[in-house]
Amino acid sequence: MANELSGSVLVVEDDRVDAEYITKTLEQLGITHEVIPRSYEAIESLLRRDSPRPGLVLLDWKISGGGASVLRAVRQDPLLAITPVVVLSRSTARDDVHAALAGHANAFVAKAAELRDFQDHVAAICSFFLSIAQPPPVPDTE
Amino acid sequence: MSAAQPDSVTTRWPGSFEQHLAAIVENSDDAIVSKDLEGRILYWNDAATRMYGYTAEEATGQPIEIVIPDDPERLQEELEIRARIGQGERFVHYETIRRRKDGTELEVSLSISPVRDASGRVVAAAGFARDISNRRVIESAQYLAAIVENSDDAIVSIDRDGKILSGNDAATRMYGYTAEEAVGQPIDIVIPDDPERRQEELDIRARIARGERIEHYETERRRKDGTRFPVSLSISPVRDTFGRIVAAATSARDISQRRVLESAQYLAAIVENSDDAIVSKDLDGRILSWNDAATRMYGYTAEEAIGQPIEIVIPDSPERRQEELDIRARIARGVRIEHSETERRRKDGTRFPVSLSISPVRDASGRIVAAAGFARDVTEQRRAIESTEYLAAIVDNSDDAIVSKDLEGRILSWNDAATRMYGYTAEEAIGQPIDIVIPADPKRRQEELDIRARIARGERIEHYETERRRKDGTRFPVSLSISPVRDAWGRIVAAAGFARDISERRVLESAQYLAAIVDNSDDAIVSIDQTGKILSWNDAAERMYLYTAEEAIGRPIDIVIPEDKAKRQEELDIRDKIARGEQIKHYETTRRRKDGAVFQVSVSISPVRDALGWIVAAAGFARDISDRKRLEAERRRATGFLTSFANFSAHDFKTPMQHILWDSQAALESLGASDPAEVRRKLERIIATSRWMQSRTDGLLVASGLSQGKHPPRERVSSQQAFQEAYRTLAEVDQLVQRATVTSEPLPEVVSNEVLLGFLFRNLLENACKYGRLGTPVTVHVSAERNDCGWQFSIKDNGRGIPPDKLEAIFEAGVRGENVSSEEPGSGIGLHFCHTIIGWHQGRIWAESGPETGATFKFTIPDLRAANG
Repeated sequence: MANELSGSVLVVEDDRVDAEYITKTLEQLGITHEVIPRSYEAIESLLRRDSPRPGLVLLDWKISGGGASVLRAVRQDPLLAITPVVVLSRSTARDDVHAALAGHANAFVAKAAELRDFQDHVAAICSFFLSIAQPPPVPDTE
Repeated sequence: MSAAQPDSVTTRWPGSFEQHLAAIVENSDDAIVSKDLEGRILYWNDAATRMYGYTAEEATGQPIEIVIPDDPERLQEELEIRARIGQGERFVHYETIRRRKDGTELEVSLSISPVRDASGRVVAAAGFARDISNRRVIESAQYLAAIVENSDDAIVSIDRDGKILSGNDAATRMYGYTAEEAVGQPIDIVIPDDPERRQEELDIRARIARGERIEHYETERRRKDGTRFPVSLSISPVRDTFGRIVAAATSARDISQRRVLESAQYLAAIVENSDDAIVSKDLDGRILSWNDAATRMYGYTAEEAIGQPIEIVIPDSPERRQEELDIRARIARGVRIEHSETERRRKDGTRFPVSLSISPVRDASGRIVAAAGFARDVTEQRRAIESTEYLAAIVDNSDDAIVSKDLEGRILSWNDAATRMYGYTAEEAIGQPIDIVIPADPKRRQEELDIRARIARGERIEHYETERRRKDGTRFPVSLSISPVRDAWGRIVAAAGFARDISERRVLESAQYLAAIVDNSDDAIVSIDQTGKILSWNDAAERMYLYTAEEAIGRPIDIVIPEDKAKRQEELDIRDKIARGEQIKHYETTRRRKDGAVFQVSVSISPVRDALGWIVAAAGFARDISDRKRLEAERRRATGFLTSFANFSAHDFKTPMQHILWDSQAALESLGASDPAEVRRKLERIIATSRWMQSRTDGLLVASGLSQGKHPPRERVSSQQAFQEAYRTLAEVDQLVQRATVTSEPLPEVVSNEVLLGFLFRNLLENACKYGRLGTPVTVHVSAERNDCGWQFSIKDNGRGIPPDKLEAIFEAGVRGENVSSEEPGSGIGLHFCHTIIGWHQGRIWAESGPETGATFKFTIPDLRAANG
């Protein structure tokens, strides 16, 4: 099960309604989380060394400043690089999916049309990365 | 038999023999000079004066060196000649150089004989000099051939293996073999059958093969009958047109017959040596003396001629007879005849032109008793100098191929230009049928037969255009002029044709045609040399670049290349490619006009080659594609608009629709859980979202209508109210707007449209809140100020700002003003609509931005007449 390090989720989402339903789902699952609406704020938060690293990043691809910049910042930082990042988007345009996976997103998940489906998907993603999958090892340097 | 035998003629001799000879010597056309053995001049005739420029008075008593070039070789030669004369030797036709009084030099043929006193001692030398400068000039191949044929020296040519290739008549006489017998045989047939002579021959051949000349080499030769005789050989290598030695020509003189003619009377020697026919006759015209040259010239021996009337050598025509009578009458009056040109007749009846000089001969009492005449056959001179040489020079130097052929079409002559034109050398062509240069097609063959038939009828063909064929089979157009050639009797015996290659003219004609095309082209056509200098410039180039041809030609092509390093380099790269023979097709780049304006062009550039295939220039076509680019940009904009609109629908409508759905589903769930507060909250949000969508849809419909010419009513609108409404509805659905600090100053009433103005503010506000900066809460400030014709609004944010190069482009559909725009969300259509909306207001919208100041969007709304105001 998730421990303190791997158990938190960073939600990068600028849409208030989407953010609200994700938050609600995470609360129901008892997962600690933080919601940041802008790309540059998310990057700043992730790179800040005094805060705990999230066990999973749920990244809206269409946030202000672009989801790609957040994904790139994560993958380029030696301490953050192995953090699972799942991209959520209402657009499933081919270019967007390709860009996200090529940028080493762990998965690209379309935001479901039905609220229940959307919430189930978020729950499943969190359950997979935070309890089923092996959490990323803690780096030696830390 | 000759005048050198005074004894035999004394009986019939009318004056003193010495007087007679003196007249002969004085009249000679050859310079006759005698000198003592120290070289002092003793005698100097008129011809010597004419030749050397010294009078007899000036020359007599002077050393002979006054006529010898001041050159050690010549002076040595003279000393040797004198020494040999002293030993009794004769020189015949010795060719050397002499000097005139004015210092100019001339080529002469010398014949010198020793003069002996009564005791037989050589006391002086008598020399004949003939100016051969002219003769040198006329040494054409034909002329040489004639010389060879007529030479008294046996002339034989052999190939490198010693096989006989040709032999002249003298060779037949000398060796006893006819040409037919000798040709093809080894030269050994005339070489004495002993090892020494054989070895000598091999040595000679080796020297010839090395390009050496052998002169006056004395050895032995063998006749057909086996007898040997001494010869003097002169052998020269014969080279082909490429300079390769392919044969040797040997001239052999039988020196067994070398008569050592000694004469006590040096005048007799003079007469004997003369190359002119010297004949004297009495006043009745009976022949008194007759020298060897006369025998050669007229064909009568001295025995046959002496005692005969001079009429035997005068053409049988009343005119000539009368002329002779006139001459005789003048002589009788003591008048000299000099260089009178007339005709004479040979024993065989043939006539030939001569130059006559005749002097009266007086007896001791001064009475004219005879006439002494010099006749020089000027046939050759006249023909050669007046026609052959002149024509030969013309023919040789002609740029037209000149070919003559007999009536059967066999080639008789072939000049250098013909070689250049057809590829056959004269050697290859002469003797071949003319068909070798006629294209092998029935039409051309028939044409040639027709031409030949016309020539045979005496017609001339001028500037007839047809085709000819080169040795390599290629055809080319020619202009032919052909004339019949007639013999002395006026019979047509051959045809002489001039051919001019007119391919170039055809090219020129097509070039003129091309030039017309170039001139009329709508594409700028410019050619440059390899250094980039402009060579040509058509009308379209003038229109495109604004430089006239006069201004552009001679200047570097750089004048039309934008002043930008990359473009200059590009131009150099293109030039390199052209120099390598590559073509550039439809390359899109930019060019610069004279006024500095840069525009887009599509260029195609090809190398230009000269006749030899060398690349000497580049020709470029440039088409102004600004219009096309504008159309393309418009199409792209239209496409961009559609794409943006699709994205807009997907993102900006799909999201709120989904939110309405989700909120509705959530509300329903809350209803089941009896949580009325939560149900209300969801319903309120559904309403806000719906309203937002509604206003957004209205705005879009009206704004889209503007581009289609659908104009909404102009009305007085409170911009304050419109802005507040826009802010409120946005904040309800957009958390970025909700979290931003938005302030505004009091905003005025303007003439606008409520829907459009609301749509404008929502777009600008959403835009202002979207692009924030880390660590700085977003603030937006809206203000308006009065200007001359209306109101100017400002919406200022503190975000990341807009790069300067994007400030204009952000208003185009599909373009967003962000640093990495493709990764940014948003439709990119909002600002485009803002632009359209302000356009409808007849105002202006623009963005200002600095690195630290964020972006400020400004627009003006002029005071127009409102429908409701």
